[in-house]
Amino acid sequence: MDQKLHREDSLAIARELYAKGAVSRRDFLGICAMLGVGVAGASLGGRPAQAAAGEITISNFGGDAIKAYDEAWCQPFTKATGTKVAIDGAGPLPGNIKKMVDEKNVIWDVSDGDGFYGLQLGPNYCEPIDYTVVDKTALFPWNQWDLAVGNYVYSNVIAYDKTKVPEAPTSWADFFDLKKFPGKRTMWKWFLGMPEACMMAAGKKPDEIYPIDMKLVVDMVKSLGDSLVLWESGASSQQLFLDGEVVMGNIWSTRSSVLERDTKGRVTWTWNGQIATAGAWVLPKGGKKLKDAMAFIASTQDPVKQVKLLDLMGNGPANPKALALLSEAQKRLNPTSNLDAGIIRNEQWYAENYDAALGTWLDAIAG
Amino acid sequence: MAARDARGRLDPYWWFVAPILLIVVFLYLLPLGNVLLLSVTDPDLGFGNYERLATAAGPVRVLLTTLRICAITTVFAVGLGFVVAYAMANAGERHQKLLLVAVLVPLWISVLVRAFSWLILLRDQGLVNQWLMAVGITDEPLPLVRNELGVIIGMVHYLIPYAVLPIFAVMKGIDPRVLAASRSLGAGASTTFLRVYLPLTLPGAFAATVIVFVFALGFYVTPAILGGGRVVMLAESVSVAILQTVRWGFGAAQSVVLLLLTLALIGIMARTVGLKKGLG
Repeated sequence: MDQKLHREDSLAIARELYAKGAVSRRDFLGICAMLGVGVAGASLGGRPAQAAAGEITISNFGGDAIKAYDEAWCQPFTKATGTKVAIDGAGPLPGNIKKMVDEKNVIWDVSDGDGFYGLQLGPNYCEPIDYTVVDKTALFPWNQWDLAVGNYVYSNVIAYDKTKVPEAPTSWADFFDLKKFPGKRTMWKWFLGMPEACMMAAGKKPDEIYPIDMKLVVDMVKSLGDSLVLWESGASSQQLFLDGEVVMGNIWSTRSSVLERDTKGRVTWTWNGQIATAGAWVLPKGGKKLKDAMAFIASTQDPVKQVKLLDLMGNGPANPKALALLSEAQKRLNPTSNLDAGIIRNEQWYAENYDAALGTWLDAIAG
Repeated sequence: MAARDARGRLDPYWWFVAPILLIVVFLYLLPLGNVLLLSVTDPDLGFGNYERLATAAGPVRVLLTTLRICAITTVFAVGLGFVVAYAMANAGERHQKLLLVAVLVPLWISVLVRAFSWLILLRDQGLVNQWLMAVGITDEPLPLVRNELGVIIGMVHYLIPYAVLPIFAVMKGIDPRVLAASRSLGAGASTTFLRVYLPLTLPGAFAATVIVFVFALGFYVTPAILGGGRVVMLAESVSVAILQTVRWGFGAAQSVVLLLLTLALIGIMARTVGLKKGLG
């Protein structure tokens, strides 16, 4: 609520400055995007942007994603339907959704998240997806559930610093090979997408990854000893490479492509062994604008909009029909164009085991 | 608690405190009661969450790590704080002011900024390691951060002012004539310090110990950043249970343990040195 008020206030200030000519139109639009308000919603005429009947609020993880979602999904939706879309970048962790529903104060009509959110939170906390509105054929089969539906695909990949490894690593086995590739490597503290890497490194075939053998994961991770550094946020995974502190990392593909650009190719990545993951929309139970929310979700399936998000953030399309639209350069950055090289994360396993496995994992990395 | 005067009327000064008391009850005690309730009702009625806390390997380890780091941090923060306070108490007035500013300024800098500053200084490619290697003291970077050592360095730095202030307050209150008397009765400098001065400063040192330890228990940001993800303390464990694994009952049980530890320590302080004396 505070955030919303603050956003409106910031917007009011920006609008004032624009009216006075103190900021350019371009800057003003930039500010609107940062605040998660579509241009139509910001209304240069001076009409106040308020949470009215024709507005829904979606949540995401903030940062660059706010601007990207706005450009790829929210603005076109507002243009087509007149329904404004506000973005709250507060970070939709499952606990936040539970709190909102428990307090009967559902602010997010649609929430970004992982595929397993719906499975983990269950029907008491999430609205079912209406597949008469949302098109099943515009989704990979592993991208749809009763209580969640794919919005994009992200991936965990092996990124490496070309100047610090003797040759390009090609597998997770290389990642764990301290002799051949000396130096520190980084993994994600929060576990998702890490055990798969350990399983593959231990020689498991793609169809043997699940159920995850946590004992094996613990052994593998402990074998890295002090060469293991953990990243916490996407930004920190990038920083570790920029500072030259690590030679390799299990990081998000979205970050690895940015790193390649920013380091002029010093840091790059391989799709081999990628762990492709379904990002997903969930609808917190009790939202008042279900129909608009469902229409919004359906609108994000459009292949062109999906490709737009790939261009803006490196998130791959969840709609297989989008693949045909991609140029060679886009395919190189897109997880779903490289699915053959890796595996797909099993959301069911996470829904059933996240709690216990995360505990075991935190214990192993802390030891 | 002299709430009523001799004629049994309520002390009028209590009316000044009443609004705050009400706020505390509604905004603090009621939610706290809710947390207590949650810890024995979610997901099932009973003490399952506490049982898990006391028996499962992970949670026990988090608790032990927390206590160990807090203990080490407290020893160093109070030890170093004692030295600083001693210098302050015995320095000239101008130096004393200067020292006080030097102690207080870090207090006003965000804990986040301080943690990142330490990270920049202590990491492998950081200033300290670069200097050590340039001078030839070591060949490869020392593991100064992203481990327990880093966490302790950051926490000690954060907590030293909280140790200095109560000790300083007590030291300022010591009558110099007592020391002079000790010297005139034939005790040497070190005997006077050990047998007269030190015992007189103990209430301050003890208060500092409790304050620092209690503060350390709830640390979240510093261990998360300087531990490099490899040091998980109680506060962070609570956050994981609430936000990620959605086990609110378990998070609540951990919070209750944290609260009980804190209350126990404050209780010990109140019993031994007295809250007023201890807090200067």
